[in-house]
Amino acid sequence: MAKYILKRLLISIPVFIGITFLVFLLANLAPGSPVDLLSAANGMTQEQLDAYRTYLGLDKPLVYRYGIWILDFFRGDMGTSTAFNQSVSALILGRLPATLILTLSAQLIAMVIGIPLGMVSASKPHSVWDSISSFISFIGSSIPNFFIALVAIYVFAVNLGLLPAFGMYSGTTFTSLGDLLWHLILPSSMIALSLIGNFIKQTKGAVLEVLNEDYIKTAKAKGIGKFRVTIKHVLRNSMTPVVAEISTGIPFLIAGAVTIEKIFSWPGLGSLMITGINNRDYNLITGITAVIAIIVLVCNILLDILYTWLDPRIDFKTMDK
Amino acid sequence: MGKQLEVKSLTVGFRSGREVHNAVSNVTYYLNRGETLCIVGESGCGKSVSVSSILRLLPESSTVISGEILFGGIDLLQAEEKTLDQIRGDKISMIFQEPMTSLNPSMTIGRQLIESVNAHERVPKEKALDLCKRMLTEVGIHDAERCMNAYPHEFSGGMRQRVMIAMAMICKPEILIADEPTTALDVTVQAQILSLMRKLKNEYGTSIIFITHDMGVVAEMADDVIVMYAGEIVEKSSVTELFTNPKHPYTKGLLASLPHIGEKQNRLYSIEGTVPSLANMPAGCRFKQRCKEKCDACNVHPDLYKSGEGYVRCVLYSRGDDL
Repeated sequence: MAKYILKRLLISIPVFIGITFLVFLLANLAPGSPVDLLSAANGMTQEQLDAYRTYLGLDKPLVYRYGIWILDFFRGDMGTSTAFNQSVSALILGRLPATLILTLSAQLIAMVIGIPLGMVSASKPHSVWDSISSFISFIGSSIPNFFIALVAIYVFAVNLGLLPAFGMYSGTTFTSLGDLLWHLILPSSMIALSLIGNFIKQTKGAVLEVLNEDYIKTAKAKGIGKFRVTIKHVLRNSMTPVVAEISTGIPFLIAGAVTIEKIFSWPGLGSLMITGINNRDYNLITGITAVIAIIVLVCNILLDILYTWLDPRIDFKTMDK
Repeated sequence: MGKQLEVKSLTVGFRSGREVHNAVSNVTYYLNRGETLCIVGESGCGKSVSVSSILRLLPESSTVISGEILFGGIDLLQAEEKTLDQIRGDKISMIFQEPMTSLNPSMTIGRQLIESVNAHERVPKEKALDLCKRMLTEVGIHDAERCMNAYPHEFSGGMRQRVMIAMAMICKPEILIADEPTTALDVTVQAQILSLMRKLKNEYGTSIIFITHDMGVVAEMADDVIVMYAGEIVEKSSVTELFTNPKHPYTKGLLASLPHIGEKQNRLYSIEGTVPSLANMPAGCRFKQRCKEKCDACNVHPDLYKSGEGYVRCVLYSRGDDL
């Protein structure tokens, strides 16, 4: 297993370089630069602007600059943010927990609701639960989540006054877990809503397939009871596609978090990213992308390990092929 | 002796849209204590469906079952899930046709075995483990210790079927239902599995309902035989009677299509035509279109007539005379 993980990590390095290079390129090729933004706002002299450009290293060729960036990155330095005038790594570290809380809770809500709904709608087709889950997945996957988020703010925050419309805490810092959760409900369930549909669909499909398997008949014939058959035999064997759903869903989860963070003023990486883009803050954009890329790559390796636990027929040797 | 299990007028239908197609129609039989009853017939004749309904293993939403299945004074078709779960695996257990797919791929064999024990007997874990290992040894698995921690995919079909048998027999059931347990195995393994089942039957005094389409297996295993065709019983008799004096034209056809050692045959006999589909069952005798002895009377659906020691569903025997 250690060998497999090492191999996967080594393969991840070129993938990581590819992703960051592409983002670096796109950010730099987009019209406007930190220097342009400055000149428009402050009416600086041409010499001052040129000096700033040289100070930022923007007069060097693109590929050379990327080379500097990646070498610095591997030394643990992601440069300085032009928008905040702070080190990018400090900015990211400050915002990362908020995003992790938001995305993990959204993922958790989606799984806790989606998987059981998928199971029930597979084992009781045409039941009320089946209709409810079709409705939820229809809403979640067909209406963009920024729109539902605005509706939810209007209903729950403005009209009913039940939940806060923005921020992570009532004050400026963490006071209690209850306060955090209270602020978390709306944004995380908005992201969860867009993920639930896929969980329901994947679970339902997998459970329907497993229910037809011969070993389920064997399990029933042993007289171990319906509950045990469902938990020990059906659920475990239908989780492989659900795990696949998690790993393909992570990028969408993060992309969803970007808009939702902006709408709810959630102080996470997503809103930081938008500030970075608006200010053409190259280091910040590339730095956040790099961190997200690492999270996605590591999650994929972890989920691959989870596969081998779920299905003993899969081992690290067969996964290599 | 005595009737251990009685199946009375069992009819099983499958829903297809608004219609219900009967895969098993009005099947009545009983199993004597300590005997082996073979149910024979070609694919789709309803033999598997009829025994799967004994433990109510068919999907309830898509099937319509009527009749009675009496076991120990309980009608299994009316019994509650809880009562059934006390019978399943403990008093009546079942093994299936496909050993390759009948074991849970993500659970070790040991855990699958111990699950059966725990469901029906309150024994400490050590004792249960011990029982599992002994049972594995008994079905001819030498390295029981290693087998307990192995997953099904590490075993061949024959070994898996042995595990299935161990799992089915571990609570010493009164009845074992074997749904074509040797069909998917190759011939040498088939013989081993059959002799293992006979050994366990004698040791545990288990009665067996054995489903097969292989007349050779019938000759090997059966005390009594039921021949099914298109969802109906067409002939019931003892095994010797069936082989020496088959009555129904279908049974005769089945026996004629067996190859004989020592005789020079160019082509094996086969029954012409195909089984009628469930949705399109002919009126009258269901076998008439393929029958060599058909007459006008075959347009009326024949009853199961008594003939000699057995029963036969053919108008030729309607007056009870032996031909």
